[in-house]
Amino acid sequence: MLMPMIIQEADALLNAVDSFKMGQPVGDGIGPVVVSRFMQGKEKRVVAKDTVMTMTEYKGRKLYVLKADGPMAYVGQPGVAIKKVIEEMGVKPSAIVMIDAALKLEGEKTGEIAEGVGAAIGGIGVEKFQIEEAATKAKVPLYAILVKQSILEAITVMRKEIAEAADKVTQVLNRVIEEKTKEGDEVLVAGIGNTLGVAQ
Amino acid sequence: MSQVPGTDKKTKLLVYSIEECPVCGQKTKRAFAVGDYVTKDGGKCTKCSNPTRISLVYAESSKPSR
Repeated sequence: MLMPMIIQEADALLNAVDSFKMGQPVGDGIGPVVVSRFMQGKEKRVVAKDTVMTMTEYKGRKLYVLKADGPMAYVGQPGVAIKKVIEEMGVKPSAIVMIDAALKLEGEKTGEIAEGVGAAIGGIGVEKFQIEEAATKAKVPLYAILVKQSILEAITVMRKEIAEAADKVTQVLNRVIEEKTKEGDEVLVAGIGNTLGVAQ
Repeated sequence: MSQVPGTDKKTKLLVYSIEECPVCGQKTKRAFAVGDYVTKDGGKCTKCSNPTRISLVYAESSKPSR
């Protein structure tokens, strides 16, 4: 009963080797792709291991944009970075927006966008806890923008449907910032995922 | 050109780099070359001759190869 799923996972890992060997962005890198657009040509600052942050502006709001340091295959430490920005650097964001890839169900379309609240990050839960702890202490709402994809698509070269969702995610991100914050506010934007083949 | 197997093993995925001109917005699609990454400087824009940047790298499926 489990064999087809095990084979699917094994195939995904096998196919992933080629993408990593060639340095091609993977589906999981959609978060870094979106935030890299806000970081181009700006001064970067290392805020945690393999994690960089840039300050920029959008419609009167001060944006703190962070992602893993690309184009190497890093995921960085967004939990540590967000905690540091809020607790040590004295930034008081009015909102934290996280962009990440999410696993789709079998019938769902690749590249669909889901919007919600909470920390959008996978893993064993350590980083999620760090982010939620820092956000709760500072009473900052967490917003999530997710791009749906399968496990195979997440760890192999980025599909066209996922890449094309980047423009839509940027529009959603801009709308969330405009709706949930006002001019003069500070907003933390985090692109979560493997930043292979995505610089900043 | 970079080729990777698709999900159903019959299709091959061709990988492309999209170069976008920040001035006129012209997009040029070309085959992925090793060393390409998103935000890397590309060639000159075919429309306005300004330097372009790679804005996306993605894979598209091709017809089944025999």
